[in-house]
Amino acid sequence: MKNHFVFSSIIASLFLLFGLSLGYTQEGNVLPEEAEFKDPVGRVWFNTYGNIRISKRLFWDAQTHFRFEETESTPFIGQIGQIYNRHAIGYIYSKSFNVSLGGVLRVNFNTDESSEDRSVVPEWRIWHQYQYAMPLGSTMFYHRIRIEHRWTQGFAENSEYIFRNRWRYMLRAKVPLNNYKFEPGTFYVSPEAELIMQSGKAVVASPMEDLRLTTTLGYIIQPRLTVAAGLMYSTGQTLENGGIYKQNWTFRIHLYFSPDFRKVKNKLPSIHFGD
Amino acid sequence: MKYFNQGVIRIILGILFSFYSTQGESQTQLFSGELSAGGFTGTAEYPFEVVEGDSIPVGSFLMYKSNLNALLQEKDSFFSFSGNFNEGYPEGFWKFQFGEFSSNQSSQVVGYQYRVNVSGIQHDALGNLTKGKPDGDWAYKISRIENSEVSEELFSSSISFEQGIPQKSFQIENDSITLVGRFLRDGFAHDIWAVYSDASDEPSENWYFNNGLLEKIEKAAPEGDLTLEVFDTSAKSYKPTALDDSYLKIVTWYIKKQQPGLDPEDMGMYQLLRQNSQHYQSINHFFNDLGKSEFMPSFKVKAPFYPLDSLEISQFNNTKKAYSSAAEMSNVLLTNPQLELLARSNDKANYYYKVVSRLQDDFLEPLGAFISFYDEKIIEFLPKETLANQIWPNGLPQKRIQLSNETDSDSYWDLESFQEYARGATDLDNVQKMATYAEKSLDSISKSLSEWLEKAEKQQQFLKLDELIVKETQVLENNIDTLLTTNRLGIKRALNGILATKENTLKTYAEMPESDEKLEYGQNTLTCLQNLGELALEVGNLPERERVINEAYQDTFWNPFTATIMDEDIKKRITSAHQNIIVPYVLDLVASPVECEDVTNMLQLFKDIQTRLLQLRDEPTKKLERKLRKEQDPETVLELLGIVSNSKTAER
Repeated sequence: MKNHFVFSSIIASLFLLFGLSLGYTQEGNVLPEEAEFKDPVGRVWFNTYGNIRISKRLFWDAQTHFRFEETESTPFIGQIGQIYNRHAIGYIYSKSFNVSLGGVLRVNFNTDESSEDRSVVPEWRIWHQYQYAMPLGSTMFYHRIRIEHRWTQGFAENSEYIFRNRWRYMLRAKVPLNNYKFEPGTFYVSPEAELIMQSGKAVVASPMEDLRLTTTLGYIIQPRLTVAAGLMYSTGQTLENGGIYKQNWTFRIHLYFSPDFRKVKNKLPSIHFGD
Repeated sequence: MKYFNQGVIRIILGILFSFYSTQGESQTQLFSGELSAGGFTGTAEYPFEVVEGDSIPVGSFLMYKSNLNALLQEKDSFFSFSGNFNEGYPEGFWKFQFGEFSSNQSSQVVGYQYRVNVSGIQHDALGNLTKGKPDGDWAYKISRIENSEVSEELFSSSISFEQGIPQKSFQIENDSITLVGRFLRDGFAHDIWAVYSDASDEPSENWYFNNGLLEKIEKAAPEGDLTLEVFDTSAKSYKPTALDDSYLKIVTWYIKKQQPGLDPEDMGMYQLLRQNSQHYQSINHFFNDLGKSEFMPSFKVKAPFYPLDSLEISQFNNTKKAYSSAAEMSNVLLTNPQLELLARSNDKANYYYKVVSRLQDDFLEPLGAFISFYDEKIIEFLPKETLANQIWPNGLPQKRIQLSNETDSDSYWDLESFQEYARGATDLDNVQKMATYAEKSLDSISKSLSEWLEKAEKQQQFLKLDELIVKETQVLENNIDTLLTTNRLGIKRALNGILATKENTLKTYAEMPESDEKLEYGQNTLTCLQNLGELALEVGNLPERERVINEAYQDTFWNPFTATIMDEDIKKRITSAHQNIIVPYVLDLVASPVECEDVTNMLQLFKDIQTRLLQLRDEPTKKLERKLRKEQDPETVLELLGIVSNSKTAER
């Protein structure tokens, strides 16, 4: 219950921040009369999620994503846009609550075919995350708050790093389709909605960075191995002009694995977190 | 709680004794704890000394038991004994109280005590002892108690002693008759001992003793008073003896000789003397268990004495030996159910059966009666010739036992090799010869019958065994029929293998000629069938065993992506080696099929596999799992898992 309260408070604060930010414009850019929506861009993401237990309560969260973006010459899979390495040490507080703290190195590739700038630049983040799971019948619901402190730079030579904070909240459900519980052989469908807000000196009129609406179909191959694929629609204000919204359709393929290399005697008992 | 308390007492006693044993000998120590003596068990307190390894009670003694809970619930057997010991001998005043009480469960507070009324029987005995012998007046009383008051005296005896020798007059009474008599200073019965019944002032029995010798008994009877001159007054000598059960038997014999229709056991004297002796005996047992004593009162009498010379003693001994051996053989034959059955179907057996019965009735039964007088050591007080004539009034039984009037060899029994004995003379020599003849006859008959009996017994054993084998086979077949409904081919094949083993062993058994070997093989077959039944259950139970193993090799773990608990299979190399290599292997062994001798090994293998697999669940098995990866040979797999197979089927 306590966790519920913390979550509700954080979510409320995020919406407040979002509301206050509306109406401001980026200096030097003129807001259009009406919101402008860019043409949607097609993307394909291959994401791996590793969750490696290192002790009774700690795990290593290791994610590597390969994100492709369509270009005129490569319509579907497109060309590599980002390679994304997200790592953290997680702490399992209970079966339904865990937190993580770690860093991200994202390698951004310049997908603008006409650009003469650098083709690859790094992006750095520190992130922390609070995830709360709650069962409702056989369905699981998850609240995830992820806060990222992010240093980015443009592709132009000698461009400065800009610092922003990202405020992310995601609500996700997992509904088992052919079973009453999650176990090997279970198909599940997972709708999710994530709102990503941002703040920082560089953010003047575009606090809503991204709104992601996704539905995924997953399959649990083994207790420690799951695959999933889904389609995501996302939209958000561009940093340059809060009146202009980018749009994406992203086909996402996920591989989830959770090995445990500990010796048997150290594993037991693996579920009695409250002991 | 009760046992706990007893245990504690014993432990305390043990410590007490071991402590004292280090203190050296002949030092007075105190016993306090549970004690059993003379059939009584309770708490005892008394000082004792250890002399040459024996503990000897000295000083004041107290032993008691009563249980209020038992009294209130149902009934309580209580006792309380007190007195003194001196150098191991009971000495001075002793008091015995014991009996059994029940209560009506109502209580009353009087003074500062609860008072509960009791009903039951109480024994009271009290008197003095000197060096373990009764000395002075002794009284023994049994009372019926109703609501804590004496309602009836059931028994009472008062006797004066001097150094264990009864003196002067005494009185013994029960609820219907009273015996009054007196002793001389040397303890011999003297004068008239009279038995009065409550119904009359006149004595119902008068026993006239003269310096220990019973001269006559006068007995009141409805048809007129009887006077019995008991003993032969012209005997050469008379011997002092105790007035005990043996003496009463002698008197009985003399009375019956004169008055065969009279049963002396009905006489009041018998009753009262026996009751008194029985009560004194219970105290005597108690003293004997604790120290040295001669509590039994020595009432002395005299009886005519006919001593045995050494020849007679040897004749008696020989007769007794022959009788015992003959009686045993006769008993074995007459109680043998095989002989009884055989006698119905076989004329010769019937003939022997009849002879044995006649030997029993005509020879052994009278002989037994005769020998009993010798065994009970009263033969010396009886005139032997008269005794023998009384037992064999028509002389000894004929050597030739005639069974019918026919003349063929089956109409009589006569051991011709045995010398004829004189029928008319019932002297010891002839009695001994007759006893030996009975023994030899029975010996001969036993030998003639033994082969038949053995054969019949064996026949019976085969019948029984066949029955058991058929029954066990049916049980096995029914069980396998049920188990064969499985879908698993391997299990089906194994079950059929078990049926094949059963068929093979039954066939071998059936084809064997009747012999000791067949009997042994049959026993083994029976065991084999039982083991096969067990093996069939093991085989049929395999899916369940696999389920148990698979379940044991599951671990619950927390899946971070769903945040739910999932079961995962662990050590899959081991479970898959079990499922894919070991199980098919053992099923093949059973299907092959196994020999009967190997069934127990197979059973053991099944059990060992299960036990070992469950053990491996929690053992470190990284290396083992690596070795199992490529191993396909079932025997190597078993070896790797540490399971030893003694199966000979596998070696074939």
